Amino acid sequence: MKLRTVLRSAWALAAVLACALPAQAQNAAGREAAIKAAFLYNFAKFTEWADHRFGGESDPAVFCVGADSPMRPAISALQGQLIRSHPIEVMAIVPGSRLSPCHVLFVDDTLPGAIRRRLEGHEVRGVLTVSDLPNFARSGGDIGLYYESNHLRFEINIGTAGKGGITFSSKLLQLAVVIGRLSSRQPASLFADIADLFAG
Amino acid sequence: MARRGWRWVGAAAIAAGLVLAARPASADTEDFTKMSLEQLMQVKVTTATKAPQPWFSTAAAVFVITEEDIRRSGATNIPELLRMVPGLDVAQLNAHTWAITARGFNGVYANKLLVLIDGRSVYTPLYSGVQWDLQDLMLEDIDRIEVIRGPGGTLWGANAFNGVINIITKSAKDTQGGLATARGGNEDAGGAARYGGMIGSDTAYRGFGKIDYHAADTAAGGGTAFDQYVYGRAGFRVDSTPTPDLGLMFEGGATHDVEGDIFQRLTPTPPFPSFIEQAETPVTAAYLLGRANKAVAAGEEWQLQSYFDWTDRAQAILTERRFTWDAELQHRSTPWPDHQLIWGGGTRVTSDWTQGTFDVSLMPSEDTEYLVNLFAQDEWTPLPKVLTLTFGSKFEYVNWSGFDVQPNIRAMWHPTLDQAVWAAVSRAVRTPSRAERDLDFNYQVLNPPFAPAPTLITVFGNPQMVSEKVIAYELGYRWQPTPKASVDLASFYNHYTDLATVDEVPQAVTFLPGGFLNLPVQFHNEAHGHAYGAEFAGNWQPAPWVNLKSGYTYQLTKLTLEPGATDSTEIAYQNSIPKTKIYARASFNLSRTVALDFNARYVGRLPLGEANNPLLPITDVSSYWAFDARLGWQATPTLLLELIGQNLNRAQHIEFQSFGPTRAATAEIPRSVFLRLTAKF
Repeated sequence: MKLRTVLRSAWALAAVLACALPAQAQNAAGREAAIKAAFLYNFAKFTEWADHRFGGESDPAVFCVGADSPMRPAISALQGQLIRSHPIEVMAIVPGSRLSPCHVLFVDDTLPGAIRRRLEGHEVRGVLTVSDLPNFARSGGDIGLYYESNHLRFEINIGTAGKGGITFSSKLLQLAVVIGRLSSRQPASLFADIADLFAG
Repeated sequence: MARRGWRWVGAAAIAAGLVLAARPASADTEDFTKMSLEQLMQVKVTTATKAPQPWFSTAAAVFVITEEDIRRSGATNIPELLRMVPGLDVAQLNAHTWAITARGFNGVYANKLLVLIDGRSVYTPLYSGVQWDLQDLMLEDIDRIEVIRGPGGTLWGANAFNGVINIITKSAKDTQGGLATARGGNEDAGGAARYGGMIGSDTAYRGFGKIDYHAADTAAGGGTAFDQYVYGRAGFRVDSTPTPDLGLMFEGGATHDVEGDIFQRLTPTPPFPSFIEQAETPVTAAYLLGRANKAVAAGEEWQLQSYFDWTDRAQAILTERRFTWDAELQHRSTPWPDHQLIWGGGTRVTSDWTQGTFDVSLMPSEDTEYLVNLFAQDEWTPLPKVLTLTFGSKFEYVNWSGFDVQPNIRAMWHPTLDQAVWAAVSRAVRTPSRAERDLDFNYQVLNPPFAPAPTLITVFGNPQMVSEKVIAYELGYRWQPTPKASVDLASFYNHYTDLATVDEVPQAVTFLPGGFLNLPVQFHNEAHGHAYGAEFAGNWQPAPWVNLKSGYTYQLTKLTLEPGATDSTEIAYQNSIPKTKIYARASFNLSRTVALDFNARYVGRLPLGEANNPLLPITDVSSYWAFDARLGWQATPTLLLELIGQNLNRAQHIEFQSFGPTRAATAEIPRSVFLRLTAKF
């Protein structure tokens, strides 16, 4: 092969790569976001909030995510799905947003700084916080997603979640790596678990 | 012309075919919300899509040797693994002696590279180099090796001059159960076993033992290189999380090696006839390291680490016993939104006891060196996922060389999510080694016509030595269009000052009995220079069962002596790295149980002979190609059989020639073929 032919082939290859591959990367990242969103949906299904967090049977379950988060499209796709009788409503968090309407909050580094500081100060109660940041549950979050040999796994910190009146069903706890100890508030969740066992 | 046109179309069609073949089945139709948690946990996600990956967003020339690379390389030791890294020069002198450097200045006593194993510095202050024969682990227990070319002084301190190698072993939690491996072939044989278990639910441990044997090779000029060795190692690691926010790690190891060396020695009385001695060197070493990590809030963590390290090397010409204690405290936090701050401090005390001979001794024979340091580095992300700026500095005080500042500033820009452009300016220093300060080395006798009268050349240390300095300007680009393909380019320009030289001191010539002259040659900081180069690493998985990796390095060093300096090693150092270096690997998964790997590497010529000095009797080293191959068969889920061939294309070849204070024997590196069995239980 002449040098020019080699160069042309290389250019042709580069052109094809340039067209075909970024789209594929997009797909893979989107797929992973969809899987994480599905985890989020499942976590909500197996979580109980304190009674006052829902006014009525058909009040929405509010899923909050940073407005600039790469997870926002995938979480927005959950809109309208039911958590028991509550339809999911997705709320985008911008600087100055109030977190009190949120039932679930997806935490990543696109969340406004002021809100992340409030989370770190444990000022946010009664909101299920989920994240794929490393060691999230170990450092005070509720549920942390992590990778283990190409599969997603999750850790639940039962100590922190209990403080906001949030309880997890035993099914969720069986599948999770559970960290933290039952605090004095946990009997409520134990009863919920036992009820759950009889129910299902 | 028409024919050429068709070829063009053909090439494009093949390329398109390859790309399409590489596309995964469309995932758009899957609705994950219909899946149960159990099902979701079974869904495979490629961690490579966790965009951006840590290495991808690092504003430095980073290369990560993964577990997969280790498994597929067929390597049996750490230096062999490092051969795949662009920008790193790895040359084997004989069975147990290696010359390894980053971006220039290679040699058996290469002194511009820092190597850490689980945070423990394994470089010796004796000559500021790494005793590669001692740095040996069960390769199965290594999680990854991160190689950073360029200065890393801000985080890692003095001597992270042109590069840092971080060897990170797996947590004991990830090495549960038993593993035994044995290999044997025409050159060497070895075996190792490891067992890992749990103590309670939050403490994991493992222990291992390992033994290796290598037969003597042929020396470069014929005869034996007397480089046989027997290595024995044992070690353990314990990982514990007593509470969710506290992580503890404790590890230790002990080593005993016996390795053959050839020494060129002098008789201590005039006319100082030289003689060759073959001697076995026993080396004993041990260490203990503990580390605690305490998370205090999301993104805020304290880390405390301390270790003891002890080495005893009894060479025929010099015995050195060294004891080192090191402690470090680090704090990571997010003090303001978009800022990641890391700061810390540390101290190290190293004491040695040496026993010299007429050939080599250190004055004083015992010495203690200590250092203290403080560092801070902030990573500021003014535009999340787009722009990150890193700036920081280390302030280090060493009792011998004084105070040094090692700052760096780095910028990382993602024009798109799958691309990264980075730039950095950094300064690093290398502190004078114990040998450079205190050596007393009767090197050789020069006779007429090289000297006016028979002259004994003695190399002396110099307590006035100062640190060598580098200012490095770096620019890099990365593109990861898909999880299956990536391109990494790094380029650098280094400006060196106060480089160490060994200069004749003719005004200090003395007369010895018998009409002999004694010419002192002393260490000084009498050279400066620059180096530039570019490094490329590429990765492509054209089909699910094929993996291609490649690397290319181009580099040049130009050194200049200050007026009046008479050093003769600078030209050798300048020519100690090849101008070009190529690496390529193709890995094939032929079936679920059979894997095939091919490695090829090219190392350009080393024009060492240009030094042309009677004090440095070295010659050029020819360029060479070397091919390795590995056939692996997973016979049962717990039994792996491998047939591995190294340097298959030539019966033997030479990779380096030793120069500098002492001369290690240069051996012909032979073709080697061996069988390896690995069983899990």
